[in-house]
Amino acid sequence: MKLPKIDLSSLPDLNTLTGMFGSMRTPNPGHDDSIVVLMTIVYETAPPGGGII
Amino acid sequence: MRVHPDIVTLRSDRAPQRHAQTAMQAAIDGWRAEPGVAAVLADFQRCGQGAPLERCPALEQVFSQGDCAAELMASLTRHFACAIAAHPLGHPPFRNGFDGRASTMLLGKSGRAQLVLQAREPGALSTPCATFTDMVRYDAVLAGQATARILRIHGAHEQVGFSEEPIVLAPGVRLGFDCSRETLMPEQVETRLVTLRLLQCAATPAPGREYCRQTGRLLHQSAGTLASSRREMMAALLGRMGRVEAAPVLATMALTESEQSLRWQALRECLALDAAEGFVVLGRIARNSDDALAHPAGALRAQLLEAHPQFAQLEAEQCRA
Repeated sequence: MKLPKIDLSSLPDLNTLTGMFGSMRTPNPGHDDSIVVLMTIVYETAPPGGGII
Repeated sequence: MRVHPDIVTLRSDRAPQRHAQTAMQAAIDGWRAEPGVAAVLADFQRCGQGAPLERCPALEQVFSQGDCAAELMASLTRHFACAIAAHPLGHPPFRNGFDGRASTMLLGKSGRAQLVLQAREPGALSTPCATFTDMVRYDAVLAGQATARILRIHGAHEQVGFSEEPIVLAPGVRLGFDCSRETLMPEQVETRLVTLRLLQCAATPAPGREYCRQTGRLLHQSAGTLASSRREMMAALLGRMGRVEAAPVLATMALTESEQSLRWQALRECLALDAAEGFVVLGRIARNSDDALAHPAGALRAQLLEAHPQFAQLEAEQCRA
């Protein structure tokens, strides 16, 4: 059976779109309290998983 | 460019940096050996495995009683102050950020739990939106003074109402929040506000929601976990690469992932890569009335059947099989 090739753009999104983790419409001044994920820049001195544990 | 001689030394010889980092680790080890710290850390790990705070007595004491949090942090900073005095270019091994108004230091992360030390600089804060995420949070105010408002939402997902409770933040204040319905909005920081904060994410966090404080309207929704955003990007990448052989993987994602947005995007990519595989999954989702995506899947199925009658034949063959 020959099925059509469906174009992705023809497929609808959900009514409420969900952005990437940590995305926000209006950045809060200062740090947002709701999500804490800090990027490690100096891996040598702050390897992932570092800290008190 | 002017480079400080100490930095030049570090660049040419890595040994001083290694010594400094060894001293930072020794500071942590020294703090861990202080009385009572081991019990708090063991509870922190239990909290990371999902135990509620009331089942973690040493940690609960930090976030509920008198001077316990202040003593714990004073002892940690004492160890680090000594280490940094001896090694001024050492980096305390904590992820940290500062944007001029607030600094955040991630003291530790274990499973679903995070322990954060935050400082807010003096000044007025006004935020037109409020964000709610699927976690619980406990605050122990260590120093400073601020006025704030506890904001609680009630009502439907897309349109909420707010109730507000003004509060003064000062050393000794202990707060607990169900962050999916409550949040703390600092308004005026008089003197630098330092807070020790414990966060515990839900096992499968629902998306974060951002509401307009004036109207209560849902303005934005964001993925509940970093992992689901990563998977969504992987699904999109496989689609853009035209990797037809990935269609069964995308079909499984559409059926088994917990975040609805990720499932829907995986379904779309699957349909675009392999119409037969995607349509079978679409039908399964549409027929399961308990599935949160049953309604949009049913509408899409009807749309595809109307546009491409061949899919009806595919369904008939599936039924016979």
